[in-house]
Amino acid sequence: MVETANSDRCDPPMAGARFASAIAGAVWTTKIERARAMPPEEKLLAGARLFDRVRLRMMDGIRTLHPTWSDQQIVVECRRRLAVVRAREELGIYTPVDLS
Amino acid sequence: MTSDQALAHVIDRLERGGVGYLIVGALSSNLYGVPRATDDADVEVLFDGFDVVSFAAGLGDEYRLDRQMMMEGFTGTVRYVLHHEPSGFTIELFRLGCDPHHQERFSRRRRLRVPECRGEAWVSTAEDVVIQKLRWARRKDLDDIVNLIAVSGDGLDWEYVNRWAKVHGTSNLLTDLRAEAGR
Repeated sequence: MVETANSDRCDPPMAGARFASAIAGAVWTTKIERARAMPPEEKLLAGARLFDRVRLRMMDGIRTLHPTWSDQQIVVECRRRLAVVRAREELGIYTPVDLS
Repeated sequence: MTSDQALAHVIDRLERGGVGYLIVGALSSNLYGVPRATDDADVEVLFDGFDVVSFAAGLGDEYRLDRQMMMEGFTGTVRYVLHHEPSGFTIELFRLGCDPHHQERFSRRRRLRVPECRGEAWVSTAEDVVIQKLRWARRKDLDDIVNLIAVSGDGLDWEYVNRWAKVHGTSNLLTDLRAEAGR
């Protein structure tokens, strides 16, 4: 099918897909350019710093779901959730070393 | 103590102790690619005379060494996990084993200026990050590789990467990921 300048007008889903693709491309380009501009020493520790922010947001979310929980309960639940993710990621890769 | 401070403390202790080590994993792919959050730091350590239990005890009360050692299936590398309790961050210490790529990766490690780590730290090269992540090939590893190639691909020693990809049987995957990254 030959596309014309008016094709999108007749096909809203196609126009939406193109728009989304263009946005994704722009975000990707920005992301790469920002990463190139970042000092290496800052990038090395960025993963740990980002984790702290993620963990705080996660605890905020748990607190919202369980307003009566203590801080300690929230920390425990946060640890449990992170452990679930870790176990899934490591499934089939790591096995316990039996020293007995 | 925050996660980055907890990591910097461990690196500082390794440096002061004269221990041979190398930062690998997500932290090293962040260095050459697009930084993402990670709840652990992977550090490969030369265990010649290195006592992991004493080392962990010397880090202070905020750290706990997991008593259960683990073995990674691809290379047989033994892992010890250090938990930094206040932050929930973990530092995984991998014993440098006989894997040929790991041996070469260690010999190619380079110094990076990191003020938080009292000056400098040993890090993996970008090529070795790609080679290792191709072996793991989990979804997040593949994303990391595409990002790394897009950010740092121009400066990579592709001959070296291709050589190890051939040895590991990951050449086709590498070709696909390079295409995805537009390189």
